[in-house]
Amino acid sequence: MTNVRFSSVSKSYGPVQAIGEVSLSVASGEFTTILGPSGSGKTTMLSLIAGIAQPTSGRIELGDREITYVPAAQRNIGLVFQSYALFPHMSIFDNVAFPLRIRKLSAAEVRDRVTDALRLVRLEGFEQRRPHQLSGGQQQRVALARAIVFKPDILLLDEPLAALDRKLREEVRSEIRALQRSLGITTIMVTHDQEEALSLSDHVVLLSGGRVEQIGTPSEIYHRPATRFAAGFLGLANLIDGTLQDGGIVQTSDGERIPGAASDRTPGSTVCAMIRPEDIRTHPDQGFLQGNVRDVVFLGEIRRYTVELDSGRMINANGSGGGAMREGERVALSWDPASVWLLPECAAEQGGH
Amino acid sequence: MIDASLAIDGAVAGPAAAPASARRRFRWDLLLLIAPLLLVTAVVFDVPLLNTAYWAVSDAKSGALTTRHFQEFLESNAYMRIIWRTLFVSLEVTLVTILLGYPLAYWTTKLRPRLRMIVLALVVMTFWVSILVRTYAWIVILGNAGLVNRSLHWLGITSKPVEFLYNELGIVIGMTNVLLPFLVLPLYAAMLRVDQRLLQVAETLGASRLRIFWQVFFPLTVPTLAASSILVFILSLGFYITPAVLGGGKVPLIANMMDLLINRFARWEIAAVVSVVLMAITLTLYAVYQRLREKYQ
Repeated sequence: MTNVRFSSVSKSYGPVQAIGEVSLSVASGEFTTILGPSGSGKTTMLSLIAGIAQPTSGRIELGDREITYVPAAQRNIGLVFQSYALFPHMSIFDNVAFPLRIRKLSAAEVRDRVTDALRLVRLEGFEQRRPHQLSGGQQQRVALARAIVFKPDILLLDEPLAALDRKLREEVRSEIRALQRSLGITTIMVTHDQEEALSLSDHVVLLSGGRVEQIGTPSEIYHRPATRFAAGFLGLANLIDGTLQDGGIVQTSDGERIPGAASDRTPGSTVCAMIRPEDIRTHPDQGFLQGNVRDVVFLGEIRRYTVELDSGRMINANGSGGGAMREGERVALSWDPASVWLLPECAAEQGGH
Repeated sequence: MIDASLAIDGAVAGPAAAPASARRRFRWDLLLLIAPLLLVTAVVFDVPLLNTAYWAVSDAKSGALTTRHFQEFLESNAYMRIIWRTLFVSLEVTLVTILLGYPLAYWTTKLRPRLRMIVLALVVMTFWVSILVRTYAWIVILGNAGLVNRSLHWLGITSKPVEFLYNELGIVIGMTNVLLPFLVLPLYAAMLRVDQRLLQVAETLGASRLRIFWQVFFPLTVPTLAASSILVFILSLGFYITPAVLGGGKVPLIANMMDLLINRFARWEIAAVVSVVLMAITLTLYAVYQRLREKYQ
């Protein structure tokens, strides 16, 4: 049973703190994504797990073994860098065989396992080529094969899709997912791409400014964000501050009334309501709020409308199918009150500590 | 001369790598810009060189073609012996330069940036001092009453002075000193270019530090090591001052032999033959170097 546990881990580079007091645990066999904008400390997290860097304080465990200061070479962790980091002077076969030869496997076993690994990433027949003769996607798969061939306890992926073009990215993404499922290997991916995080992971660890913002399933983090940052980082969110009224209605200072789900918070408390654009329906005249279409962005599957309410507030709403609205048109917005989420962050502020 | 050809070679490699469309068009305007330089090079460098080659195969009086000089060159084994000795000394110098230069370059890359600059400045500083001054300085240091011998004696390691000067050892020490920067500087740059992530990945794959060095780091610096070693070797083939001063005339190399042939004996034809042979050896080595470079890139 392999899992990774961070206990109040901090890492500083000189006076700059990269991560501070991070505690989290990653369950065995799961796909976990460490998500955050650049500078959030996610690469530091990866380096600490891989053993490339040592924490300033705190404790890291792998299974029931403490690995805080164990050298990288003794951790048995497979790492795939964004830049692939294949050894340019070695053939594909030698690249994948590298960790096996270190482990002093017999030549026959090395050959069998390299062949298996290359078959897993669909690169049979490429054994004798050099890395520079392969495309970016193929090099990425070789790096993946090299990282799993020695049966590591953990697979670490550093922005594995960032260097690939859009089409290839989706292909490699589903491949990584399928591979992870079939091997059942505990996988930790670092990325700044929320779409990647949502589509691949069992769990997402959202980092911001070197601190854990929220940990949860992709759906939890998307639909039930804990903070304004979480709400804004994963997709587009309409955030509306107001006072909670009876029946779950949020009253804004401009006098708008936002119907929301029934809440157990005390009426009269200050709340911050979130509505995702895709939960908002548009109609020519029937809805909770009225406004004018200010901007229409065509995104293929959907159109994204920016609506200026009569109060001056801007709201994002998605439209799909026929019947597109044009800029300047009058529109009414409505939604299922159950889709409105009150951020716990505001409630905490209201609690006044 | 070799320097310049290496530099030009690098400049040519750039456009060759450019897309086919850019390569197809011949730039007449660029040719026009470079024409004066080409002309000067041809007149003051290539023509005399061809003239030397012509001397080697022609009779001084009649101007008729002859193989007489080459026959004389081959019949007397003194010439071949000096050429062999020159090749051997150059090889020794190259090996010593590698053994000293590689660790020095490696160590420098591991220093803090400020210290790096100081070490590099010390290495480059040898370029600032005249080669003649530096060579005579070695006499002061290595002489029988010099710094090294007195230190060795004082430490009780030796009872009588070690003969550093006026032999092959002195020449190798002096030449290595002059040529070290030609190996250290390119190697230092190549080592900095090695992707640190390759080393980190190798570590996560379980490799020990020794294995990372020999199987990942070292192979990645070998092309530069080979290129700069051949450069050092070719440069040492033509050394004149250092063997003349530190060898004390006892260990003549090709350049010193040429000096004798021309200034003492006025045997221009034989000197021309020796030049042609040396040139052929140098060009062969250069061709080998180019082949190696193409193969490993």
